Amino acid sequence: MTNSQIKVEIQKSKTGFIGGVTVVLVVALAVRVIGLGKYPVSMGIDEIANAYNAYSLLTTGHDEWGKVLPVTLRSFNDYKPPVNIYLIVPSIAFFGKTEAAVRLPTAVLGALTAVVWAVWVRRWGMGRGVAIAAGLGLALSPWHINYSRATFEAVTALFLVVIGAALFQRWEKGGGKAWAAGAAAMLGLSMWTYHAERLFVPVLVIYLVLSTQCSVLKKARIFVAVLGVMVIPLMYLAMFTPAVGTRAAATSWLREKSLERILHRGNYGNIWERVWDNDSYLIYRHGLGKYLNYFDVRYWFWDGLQLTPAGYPDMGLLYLVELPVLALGVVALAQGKKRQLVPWIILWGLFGVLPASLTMNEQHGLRALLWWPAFGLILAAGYEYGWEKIKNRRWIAGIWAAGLVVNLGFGYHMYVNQSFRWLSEYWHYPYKDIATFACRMKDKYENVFVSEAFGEREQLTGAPQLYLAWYCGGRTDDYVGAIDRPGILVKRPYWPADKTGHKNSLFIAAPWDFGVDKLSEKEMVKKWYFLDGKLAFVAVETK
Amino acid sequence: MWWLVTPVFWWMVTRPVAVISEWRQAPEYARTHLQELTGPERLGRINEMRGAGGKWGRVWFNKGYVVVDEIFSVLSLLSPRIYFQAGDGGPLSPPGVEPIPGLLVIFWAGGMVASLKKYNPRPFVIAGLGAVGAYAVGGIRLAFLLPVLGVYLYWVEEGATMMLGRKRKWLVAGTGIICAYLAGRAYFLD
Repeated sequence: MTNSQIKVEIQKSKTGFIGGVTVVLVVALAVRVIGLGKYPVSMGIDEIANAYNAYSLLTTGHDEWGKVLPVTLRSFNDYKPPVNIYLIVPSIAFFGKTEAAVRLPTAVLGALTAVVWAVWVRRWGMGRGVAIAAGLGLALSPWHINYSRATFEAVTALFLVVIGAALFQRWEKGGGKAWAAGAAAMLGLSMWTYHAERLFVPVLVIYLVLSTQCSVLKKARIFVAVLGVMVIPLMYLAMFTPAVGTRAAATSWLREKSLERILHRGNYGNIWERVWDNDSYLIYRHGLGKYLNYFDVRYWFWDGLQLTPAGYPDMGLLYLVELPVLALGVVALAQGKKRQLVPWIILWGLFGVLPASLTMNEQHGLRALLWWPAFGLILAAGYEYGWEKIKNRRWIAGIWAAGLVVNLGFGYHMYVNQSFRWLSEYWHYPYKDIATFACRMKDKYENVFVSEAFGEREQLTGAPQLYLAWYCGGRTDDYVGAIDRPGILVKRPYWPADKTGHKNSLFIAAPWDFGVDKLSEKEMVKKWYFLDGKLAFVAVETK
Repeated sequence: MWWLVTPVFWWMVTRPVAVISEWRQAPEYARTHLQELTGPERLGRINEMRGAGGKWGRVWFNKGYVVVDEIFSVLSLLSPRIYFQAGDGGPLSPPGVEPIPGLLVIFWAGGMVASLKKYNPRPFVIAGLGAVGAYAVGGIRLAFLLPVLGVYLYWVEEGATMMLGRKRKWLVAGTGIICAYLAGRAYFLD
């Protein structure tokens, strides 16, 4: 082959890869953006808080607590990281005050993660087809799509970590200062985006530096400077304000009832109890259980996504057809293929899930999203190994693709037809309708009271003031506080005392707050149902 | 050798009658399991999903779904949590401690890699068959999961050899001390 022929081949390969990456982007965007205003069926409580705070920042420059351009948003005293909320601001400014506009930045960054992933895998020396398959794997991942469509910070944070790690590698392999600054900025920013990254990124940075035998330290001034600018304020917040600690404490597994119940807290009955039933051991064992709980094939491939209530059929974080590819990847890596991936897989495999396992709740898919790259790298190794080793690969690939189509169909069915039907109450489903209805009715009554307590499977507490402010206008303060004023107010009914206490008013609350069997059909002005057909709210008027 | 530093071994050795009685109940367990599998409670939620999802609900949730669900129930019996942290919660699992000291889980993972490196599928097959056998008699019961436990200890040995070489004797000694503590705790709680 002559030099010019080689050049043509390289050019063809580059063009082919760019074409493939374009396909990845289009597919990733399509599955994340189409019907974005419709699915999820309602803005959940955190989503509406993000939306309202972003709108407030856009129109007034301060958040719902009146703080000007805050670096952490107090919200429900859970101190939300700021990045996602600030990303929503320009989207609302450009596309208007809609659900789709609120969700768009996360969906787009989710799609871009698939593109960055494909490019990164290619840079590991994987084949063009393998890199594109890896990108498509993330583009179509049910785990990632599910959270990309609903303003979850974990999606944005994963994008920042992956691009940060990729930029670091580019810098380490001879890139200029801009790559170093970019890597530090992305990794630092990820810690301002989601809680899990605050634990994982320091470990990742230590690994990245050690992996170069500390050689990058000689030229690391710009990297350290940018990372310092990002991290030092966060450390200040962690040490001197409740902004970081509050959330960590509220979700810590140390507060789990199953653990709290057995801890002695220093009050041991006797020396034997102190020795054999020591709190240190109890905490260790509890933590070990939470961590190992994530290493379960059933959770990964069959029921980890929590699209349905506990105990009901569900779907896994990964598609079933990815199971043999994952197995091939493990075999390939054990055989010494793609040796350069192994430390990354160990790092991401062991530490990616650590932040999730330190929090409450068994097997939390969202908090564990940071774990995805461990699977992504093994899958990439599996694609490459399978393509090299399997005979009749066109047939096998065809059958596998048919399996993927079946999996995609099942995923679509679970997301669109099943999930919201079963879990609409956890998405605070009827509050949008309630808010717009309350708005229409406000001139007809002295007061319209909207309750924050609802739920059919369990009693939930909502934040109707956010829905009212978003859909009706005004500020959240307009809807909460003293109830001796006219207008729409958030208040749970005390029935039947409120029947006489608040004349010419409309109460919108869960049926069990009224004792719905004690109400006549005439008294119920309107009813709202969850998507599973169960009665969610009723509106009752007083004369 | 690794058996000797696992609390579950000493727990079962000191309760041979209970172990044998558990094995003797295998036919009864299998019968009950079969009844549960085909019972209305097992199928109730799948039928709810069938009904709720329109015509596609009926396509996805069928007998094939139940079969795959059961395959994953078998695979769940291979979850490291059962062996390195939780046990089975029954009388043959040492109470309040790990059946195998949890610190060994990293060597277990290393051992699996070592088996794959050597193209040695035998432990995987034995563990798989062990899980199928235990599944047939109703799932998580350590008395029936002993083949899986044995394979996992084999992997601990393989992993320790790969990762520590000759120094693994110190790991055995250290694990022996941990085992003594865990066994003491189990008998204390008992």
